[in-house]
Amino acid sequence: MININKAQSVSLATGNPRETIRFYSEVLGFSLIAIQREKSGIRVVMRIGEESDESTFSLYFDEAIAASAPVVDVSEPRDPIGVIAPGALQHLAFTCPDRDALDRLVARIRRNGIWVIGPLDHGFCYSAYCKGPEGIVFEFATDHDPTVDTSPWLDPKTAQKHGVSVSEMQRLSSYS
Amino acid sequence: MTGKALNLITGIHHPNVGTTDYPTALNFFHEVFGMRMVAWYLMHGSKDSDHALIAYGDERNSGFFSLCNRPEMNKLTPVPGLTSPTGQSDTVAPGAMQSISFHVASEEDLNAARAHIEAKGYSVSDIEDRGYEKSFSLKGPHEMLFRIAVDGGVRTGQRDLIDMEAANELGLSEAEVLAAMSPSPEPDEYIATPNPDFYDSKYRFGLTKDTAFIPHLPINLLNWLMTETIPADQSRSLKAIVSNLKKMAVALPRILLLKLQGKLRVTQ
Repeated sequence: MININKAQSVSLATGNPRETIRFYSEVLGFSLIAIQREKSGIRVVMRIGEESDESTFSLYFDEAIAASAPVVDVSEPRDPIGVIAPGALQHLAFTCPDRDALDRLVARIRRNGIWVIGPLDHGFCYSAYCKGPEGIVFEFATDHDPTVDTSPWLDPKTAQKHGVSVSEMQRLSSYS
Repeated sequence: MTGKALNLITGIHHPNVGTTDYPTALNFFHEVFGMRMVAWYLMHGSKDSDHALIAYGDERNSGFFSLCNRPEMNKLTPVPGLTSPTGQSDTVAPGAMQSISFHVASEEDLNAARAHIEAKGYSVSDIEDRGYEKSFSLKGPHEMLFRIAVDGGVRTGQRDLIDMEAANELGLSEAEVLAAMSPSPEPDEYIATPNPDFYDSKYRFGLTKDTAFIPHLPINLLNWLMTETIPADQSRSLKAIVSNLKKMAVALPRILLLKLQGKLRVTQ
């Protein structure tokens, strides 16, 4: 039995920790809570919100990362629907608690000289997008109503395109 | 400092990760992590890119994991050391994801999760106590590295997990560490702020010939163009067809004008 109740953390590599830490604290508002040695590198951990039970965000630095570079269309997407290798992060979406917070966040990012698209209305959430340091694409989202029935968004044509039958899609959309 | 407390972001909504094999990846999240898919459809008006949202937690959808595919990805494979950690090394390209951690509520749940995953035939690491979390790791589809974790409860402002010598190696002074521990508050009043010029932006999207118009359209028009309707309505509803034709009629002349003015620039 496994009782996952939220995403705890996302860990990204950084070759420029000073710039990235400044971005995540000053622009996105994360609070630094740990800097520790780990294997051959250094781990930086930030608290996403202000409460001690909220998720964290983590950066990892080592000399090999510092000596490498992102590769566009492989490790780095150009935009929110850009190409990347399977298993690689295409974009990272953070939760804003409501539309007011999303609007304030968009204004804060723009005040820091970064171009933001949105907020756009995706039908069940509002989202804004921007690029961040080292090529990462961000989304910032707030749901219209977290209890909304999402089943109309399960598209049989999309499933069939990828070799998944409607009954299999229904099985995958129920609790195991 | 005065100002509104900074709770503009309160969690991880979804990491969106590429896949070239939905059946294997979706089965993994369903069977191993007990998650369920809640949406699978074409992305944001695209003709051939799609994504699947997978939910965990209770019925209130406390967050998602997202998988996406577009045809160009099908020629690619994970690149160890660039897009995925190798196991021996945690190195990936700057900006790439090393791992994603999912949270369980207690150490009892953590032990149960480890036993559950091992029983499914996956190799799991020992549980590590890193101070800020206790967790174990496993490899999933497409060489993705996952961790299952219990939060360590470290409060903002707490300093005992900050190694200043390591901070100095990262190029951070003590003042910069303190600044990163308490980000600037928000002004009390909301200040509507226009976008900087796209081409002067500190970080900016790469524009292809197909997307070069995006920075030039008013946000209201973009919002209208990109607002999505449920998949059944996209293909079957007469209203949706009329709406799409109307969108094209409004957007295309503007885009052609921008092209004639030489404003549609491709960027890396």
